[in-house]
Amino acid sequence: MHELSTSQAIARIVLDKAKEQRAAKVLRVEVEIGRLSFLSPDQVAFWVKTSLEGTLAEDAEVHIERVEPQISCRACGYRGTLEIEDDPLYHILLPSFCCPECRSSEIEIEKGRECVVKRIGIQQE
Amino acid sequence: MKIIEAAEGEVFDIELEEDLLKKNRELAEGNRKLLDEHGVFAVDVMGSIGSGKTTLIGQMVRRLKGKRRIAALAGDLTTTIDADRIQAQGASVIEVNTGKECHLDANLVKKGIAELDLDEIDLLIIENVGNLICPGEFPLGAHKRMVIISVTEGPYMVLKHPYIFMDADVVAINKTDFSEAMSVDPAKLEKDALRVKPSLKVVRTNGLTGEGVDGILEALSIQ
Repeated sequence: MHELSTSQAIARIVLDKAKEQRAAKVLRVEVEIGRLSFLSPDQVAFWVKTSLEGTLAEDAEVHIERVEPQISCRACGYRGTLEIEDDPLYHILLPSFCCPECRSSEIEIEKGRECVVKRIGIQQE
Repeated sequence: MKIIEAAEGEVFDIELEEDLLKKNRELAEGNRKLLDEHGVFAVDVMGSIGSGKTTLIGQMVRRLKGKRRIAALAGDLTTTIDADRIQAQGASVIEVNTGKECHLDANLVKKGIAELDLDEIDLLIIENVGNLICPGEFPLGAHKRMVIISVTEGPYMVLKHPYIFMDADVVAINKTDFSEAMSVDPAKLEKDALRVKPSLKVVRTNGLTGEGVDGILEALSIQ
């Protein structure tokens, strides 16, 4: 639901960097969004495009890459993905925030919650 | 030394690696540190609109009045209705209006905390904006996070919004007096919550009568 403000922040970061680098045009914007974040990638792509309208980045292609979850378990040392149950009854992916090996809840989410402006492709003046 | 010069009009990749959520996390850590320095324990209360956040917070304040020095931050889009209701129960309340934003963030909470005399309080209850999605993404610096769901929201609240429970410590299943009328089994909601996060403490409550509020305080380790 906060895709618009997030996208506006992304656009601001892109335009600040483009200005700093004396870009004539921004051709590409690459963003990483973790699967455990609450952002919908399609909506972010749409709002970033919209926020960049009328700027030197208005023709930029917006790429969104999804980052898979990675956790580490403080109890048993497991490192890897979360257990995500695909329940056909509800047509949802139900994550389980515990260690898939030892069921401990003492886990750290290392990846999967980020929203990162990874890089931009620019053409200089 | 080999120097590569760019030709005119060449395309460059500029690495940014700028994490938008990192700023909020850093501000949240700052809030936590400030609260710790003043010995203030903070709870972030999340839940959808109408789940009973304000009523349960009011009950918590009533129980703790005289024992703890309480302040509350009430997040709302534009009104002070919630803030007024909590204040009426005996806590000093700062209203944080988010305008159109669907959640509180660490920066707004930082501003709210700045309005409080932290040496005069030892418990801060933060009522988040009514929403079961976005607040989960924005830690505020609270020591515990509680999610309130109610049986009147139907039987699928946990399954539909599993991610809000990711960082929660306590879940209150509210309005249990309506379970039968709503044909919603609180035991099923509890099972769903524990399936998502086994370490959750689940408490059944009735915000109007105050039933289960002691259980909430115990689960949050508030005496």
